[in-house]
Amino acid sequence: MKHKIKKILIANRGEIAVRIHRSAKEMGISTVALFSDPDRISPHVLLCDEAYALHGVTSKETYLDVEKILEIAKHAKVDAIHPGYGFLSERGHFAKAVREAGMIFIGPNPETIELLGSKTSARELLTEKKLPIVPGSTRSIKNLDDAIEVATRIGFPVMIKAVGGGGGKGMRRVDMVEELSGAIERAQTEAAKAFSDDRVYIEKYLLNPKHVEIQILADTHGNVIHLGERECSVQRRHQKVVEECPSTALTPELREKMGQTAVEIAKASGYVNAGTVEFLLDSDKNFYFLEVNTRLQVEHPITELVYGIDIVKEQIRIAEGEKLSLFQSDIKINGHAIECRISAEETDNNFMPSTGKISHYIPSEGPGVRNDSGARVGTEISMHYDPMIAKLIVHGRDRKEAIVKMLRALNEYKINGVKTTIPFCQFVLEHEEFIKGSYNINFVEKNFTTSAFSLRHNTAVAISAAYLAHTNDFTKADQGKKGKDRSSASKWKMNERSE
Amino acid sequence: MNKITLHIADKHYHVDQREDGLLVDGKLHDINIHKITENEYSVLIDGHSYHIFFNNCSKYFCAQIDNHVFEIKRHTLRDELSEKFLKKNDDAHSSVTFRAPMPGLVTKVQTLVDARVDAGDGIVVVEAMKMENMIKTTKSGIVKKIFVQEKQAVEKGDPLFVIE
Repeated sequence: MKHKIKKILIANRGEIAVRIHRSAKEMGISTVALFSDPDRISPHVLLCDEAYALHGVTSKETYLDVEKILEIAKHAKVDAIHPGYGFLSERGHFAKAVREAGMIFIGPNPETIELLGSKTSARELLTEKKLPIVPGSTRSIKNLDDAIEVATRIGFPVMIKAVGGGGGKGMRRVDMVEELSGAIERAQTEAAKAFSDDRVYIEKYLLNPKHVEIQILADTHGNVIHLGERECSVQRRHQKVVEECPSTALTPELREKMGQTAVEIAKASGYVNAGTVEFLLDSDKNFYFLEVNTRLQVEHPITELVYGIDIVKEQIRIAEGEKLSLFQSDIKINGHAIECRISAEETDNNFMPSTGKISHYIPSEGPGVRNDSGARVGTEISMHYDPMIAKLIVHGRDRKEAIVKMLRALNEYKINGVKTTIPFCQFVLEHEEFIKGSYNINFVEKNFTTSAFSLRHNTAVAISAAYLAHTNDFTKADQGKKGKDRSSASKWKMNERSE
Repeated sequence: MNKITLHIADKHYHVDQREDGLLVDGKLHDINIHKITENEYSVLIDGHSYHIFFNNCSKYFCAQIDNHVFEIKRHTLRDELSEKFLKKNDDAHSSVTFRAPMPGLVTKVQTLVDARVDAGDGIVVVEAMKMENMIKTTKSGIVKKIFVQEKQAVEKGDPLFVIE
């Protein structure tokens, strides 16, 4: 059944809310934003046609509150809801509630989300279809004895993973049996908080694999195509930081083989809309199914740039009941794209979250550069939400050009008020292993040390000069308090340009 | 003339403002400086361009350049004396204070005051942005003090516990 969508509620925040708004606008669709108390002045609120308050601060009382969101959707008379990624995007009960309220959920149907969202039932399905999965349990761990049995059967090291979701939450590597109990306990606590589901399962920890995922599109008429792969092996804390398309590890034959496997998985699960099938690829080019992300992926723009397809627009068209506008034979690789996630984290302090208010924001521009951002001057980066500020994406004729373009763009990017992952991304893009393309998911652990970046003499001179000018300013502002500084600082002369 | 010592990223720089330029650690530089916005400066040193931002990070004043953040402290004679005193004091009791590496919520305190702990033992769990971070001691000894309790919010740099 076809239904032309006229108004979409975007049940998300930050850069992805802005991203969805843009495609909707270009399709002549009105947009409705939601916001928590701290997000009142966020770009998605300023850009969307309408915006409604969720009244609250934490994710639980705002972007995860199904009742509040549906109430606003009804009030604003939208005909569809786009969940973005994270939050409610992979919650089958939300998709179901949207459908029951008479609106379109832009994503797969609730049954598929439930089936694939439970990592264990997805593993069971794949085993049935004789598709390759990472060795381990196909059901959740019952108790410690059960865990010990599975772990010793597949052999250490093993990975404990949440049944309810990914994103690095509720995940722990375990190297020996003594560590199992503590690791399971912490993974369960994290999983319960992140997914309201404390079940975990065990998988064999593959030693040096690459993370390669396949983008798929499926319509309601049974057509499924794949849009090639993205390589996302640069991860810290099991979260992706730098992604590229295509992967250096894939030949056209392997791409077709992995792509077809992804299409088979989509068909087996009755998949509709955009989705991503994640695989681990070992050094002998064997690939193992990891999981399906039943939503738009953070790193989807690199596929968009290489294949010239707007995935969000495709999602909306599919939700309207349209047939896919493309055949598999239309899909052609054009150049190379790289994405760097710019997050508020302390690169020099083990990627700890960095909170604060953004006081200056100067994103990169220029040929081949795309900046998908959810921040601006005045944005408060709080500990309540994901620390990602923006995604910097570049497109070059080939991989070499994409790398130098990304380095140029990273160098241009200026954010002040919080520390960001920009220096880390620079480290990655300059690293020999990345340039060669031979890196795997242990790249960060193996190569990155969090020792402080060294300061060059001239940089110290620049800081000293600016510091003196700056403190001179302060002295002028409150002369009474800092009388001592004033006399000395006032001697400093601004050396203005004479030409 | 205005001579000061700046402590930038764990190093001291002797800075001397002169009519003919800026003398840093004995090297004279031609400086052209322009304030762009509040807390934002363009500095040209011998023709080379630098773009600098200032902000207050936790305890210190910070400069940001090319997305690297450096703490700056103006060093006085009193600072030097108090640093020496603190070091002596710490050495004498050989106690170490562990601080919160990020703002967050204490979700678990795994030990009690007077307990014996080994380096590597987890003492406190701090949760931030949905990640649980185990704060471990790098020193073996006795837990002398625990500053926090479960469900308490902490700022970056807040003391968590002392091991002696």
